[in-house]
Amino acid sequence: MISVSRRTFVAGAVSAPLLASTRLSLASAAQDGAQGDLSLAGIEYSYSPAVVEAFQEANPNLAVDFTGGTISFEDGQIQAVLQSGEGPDAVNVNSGPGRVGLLASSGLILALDDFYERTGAMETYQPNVIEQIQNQPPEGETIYEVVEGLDVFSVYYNMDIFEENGLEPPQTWDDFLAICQTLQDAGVQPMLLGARDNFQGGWLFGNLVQASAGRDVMTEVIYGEGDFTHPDILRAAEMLQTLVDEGYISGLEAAALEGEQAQAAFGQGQGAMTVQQQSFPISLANDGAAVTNIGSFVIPSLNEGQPAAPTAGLAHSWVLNASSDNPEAAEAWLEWVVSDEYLQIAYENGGGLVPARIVPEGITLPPSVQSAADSIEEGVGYNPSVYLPSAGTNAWYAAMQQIITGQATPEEVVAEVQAALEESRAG
Amino acid sequence: MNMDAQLRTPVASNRTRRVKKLWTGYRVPLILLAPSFIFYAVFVLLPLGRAFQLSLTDWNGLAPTMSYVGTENYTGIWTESRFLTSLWRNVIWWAMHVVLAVGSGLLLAILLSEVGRGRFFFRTVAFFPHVLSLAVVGVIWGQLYHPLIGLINASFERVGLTALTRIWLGDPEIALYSVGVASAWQAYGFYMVIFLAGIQSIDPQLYEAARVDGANGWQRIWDITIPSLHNTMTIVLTLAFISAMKGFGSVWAMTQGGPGYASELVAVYVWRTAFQTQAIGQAAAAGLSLAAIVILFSFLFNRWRDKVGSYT
Repeated sequence: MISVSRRTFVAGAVSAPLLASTRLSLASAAQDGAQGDLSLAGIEYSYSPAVVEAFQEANPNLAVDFTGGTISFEDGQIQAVLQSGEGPDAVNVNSGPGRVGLLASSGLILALDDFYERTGAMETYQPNVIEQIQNQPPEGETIYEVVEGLDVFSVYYNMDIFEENGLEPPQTWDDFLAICQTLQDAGVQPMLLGARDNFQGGWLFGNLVQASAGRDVMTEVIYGEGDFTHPDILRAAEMLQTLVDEGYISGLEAAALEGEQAQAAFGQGQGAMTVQQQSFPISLANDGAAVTNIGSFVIPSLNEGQPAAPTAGLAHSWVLNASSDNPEAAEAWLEWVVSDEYLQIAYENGGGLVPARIVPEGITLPPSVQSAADSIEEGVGYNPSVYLPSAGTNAWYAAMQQIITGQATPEEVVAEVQAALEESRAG
Repeated sequence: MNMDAQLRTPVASNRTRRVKKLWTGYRVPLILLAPSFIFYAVFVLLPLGRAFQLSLTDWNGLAPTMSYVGTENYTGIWTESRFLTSLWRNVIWWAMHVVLAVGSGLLLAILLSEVGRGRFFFRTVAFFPHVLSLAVVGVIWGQLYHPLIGLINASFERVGLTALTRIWLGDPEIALYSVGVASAWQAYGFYMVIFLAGIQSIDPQLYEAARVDGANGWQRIWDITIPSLHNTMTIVLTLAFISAMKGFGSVWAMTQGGPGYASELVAVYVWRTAFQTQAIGQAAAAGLSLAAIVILFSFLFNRWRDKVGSYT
C-alpha cells in the first residue's frame, strides 16, 4: 500500500560534532530504557533523515526504521496500515478532526494525555494548537496527536511584475480586483492555480471564505451547527467565480494543472500571483529559483473593521499505533519530536512548517516561516480542507472544481457542501 | 438392528458407492483443480462474500462496530444521480474503448498480418504501450495534454491549427474523452495480439481461393477475415466490456475523476466513497452492483453471440 523508499538510518552525523554530542545527551536523557525495534513511517521532510539519525545515535539500543513517503488518509493508506494490526509504531499523518479524529474514534491510535502531562508538552505547545487537538472526536478532551507543524496560506506575488506595473499589495477586495485587471491588461496572467489535485484550489477558496465570512462564521460551521449556505460563505464562492469569469484565473487550466505544476509556472514568471503556504519560498530556493522577488499578502477582508487574516491549519501529526509492539520506544520518539533539539535540527535542515510549539530562544526561523508564525499570533482563519469532516472535505473540493470549471453555480455548490455536512453530522 | 437402521443401510451404502465411484472417476481432475479453486475461494469468493456483507451495513471503514442497514445502500446508490451518471460514463467509456482500442487493435492486426519482412519488429513496437503501467501512461499523457507545455497543443499551434487547442484534462466537456484516448492507447496492443492469433488460425486456402475468384484485398478482409474472427471478436468484446467497466487507473492518474465529477467512472466513485467519505457499505454496494452488471451483460452477450454464431 505504501509506495515509498525504505530506509534504515544507522550512522553518519550531519551536524557539527560538538553540537551533535550535546544533542546526543539531550535526546537520550529522556528516553532511557527504550530498546528493541522502532518502526516509523510518514511524510518525509527535508530534515527527516537528520532527526532520525540524531535519534538513532542517541538511542543505540533501539533499531530505528523510518519509512518515508506520503501516508494519506484520503487514499485509504493510513486506515489500512493501522487496521492491519501490524504497521509502524508511530506514523506521521495529515492532521485534522476529519482524519486523526476518525482514527481516534475507531480505537486505532493511542491517547496521549499522559504523555503531554509527563513531558510538559502541554506548556511548550502553542495554546491554540492544544485547543484544536483537544477539541476533536471522540471525547473532545483527550489528545491523540503530536503536531509536527502548521501551514499558513496566503497570496504570494512576483514583486518584479508588480513593480513593472506600478502595483502595491491590495488594501481592499476592490483593490485586489483592480490589480488583477491591470495585470490582465498588461498581458500577464494575474493568478496561477493548480487545482487538479485539489489542495491549492482548497487553499484559495479557503482564503476567500476567510476574507468574506471570517473566522467566527466558520467556527460555527466546523464545530457547531453553522450552515455552509451562510450568505458570507456564498459570497466567497461568488468571489471565486468572479475571478474565473473575469479571466483572472484560467479555470479550465487550473483544473488541468497540479499544485506543483502551478508552483513551477509561478517560479518561471508565468503568472503574477498564486496561493501557497509559508514553505513555498523555501521550496523554490531548494529548486534553485530566485526567491528575493517574492512577496506575500493576505486577501483583504470584505467585512468592515475586520482585519485581513490568512488561513492556517495543522499540517501533519504523529500518532501512535494502538497495535504497536513497542509503545515505550514510540513514546520515546514522540519525546524527541517535542524537544528543542528536534526543532533546531529541523530548521537547520530546510524545515518549512510553522512550529506547533512555542519557539525556544536561540532558534531562528526562516523569514517566511517567522512571518507565518507571527500571523498565527495575530489571528488566522481556518483552512477548511483540514477542518471539515471527511465527507464535507470531498464536497468542498468538488465545489471548488465545479466553480472554476463552470459546472455549477455558487448557490449549488454551497448547498452540496451543506448537504454533505448534514449527512456527516447525522452519522 | 432396528427398523430405521435396516431401512437406511442400503441407502447409505449406495451413497458411499456413488461417492467412491465419483472419486475414482474424477480423482485426477479434482486434485488438479483443487489449488486453483482454493486460490479462487480465498481471493475471490471470500472477499466477494465479505463485500456483500459490508454492503448491508453502515460501516465507515474504521469503527470496530457496524449496523445492519438492509438494502438501504443499494436503494441509496440506485437513486443517486452521481452514481447513475458515473454508470452512464462507463457506457461512454466502453463505447470509446471498443471504437478506439478494439478498432485500432483489429486494424493493426489486419495490417500486420500482411507484413512480411520486419513483422516481429512492428508487432513489438505496436504492442509496446500495453507493457506500460496505467500510472506511467497517466504521466506520459498528462504531459502531452499539459495546458502550458503540452506537446499536443504545441503541435496544433505550430501547424497553425490553434483553434483545435484545448484544455484537455481541465475542460469538463472533454476530460473523460481525453483520458479515454490515453487509455485506449495503452490497451489496443492487447487486442491486436488476440486478433493476430485469430487471423493466424484462418485457413490460408480460403484466401487463395478468394484470390483465384478475383476478390480484392478489401473483399478478402470483409468476407473472410472478419467473419472468421467471430469467436475471437466475442472474446475481445467481452474483455473490452469488462476492462471498460472496471476502468480506474488511467482516470485516477490523470484527473482523479475531475474536474468536479466530470470524469468519474463507477470504480472512481467506489474509491472516493470508500476512502474519501468513509462510506464503505455504500462503496461495497456500488462495487457489487457494477460486478453484477458486468456478469449479467457478459452472460447475455455471450449467449447472443452463440445464437448469432449458430446462424452464420
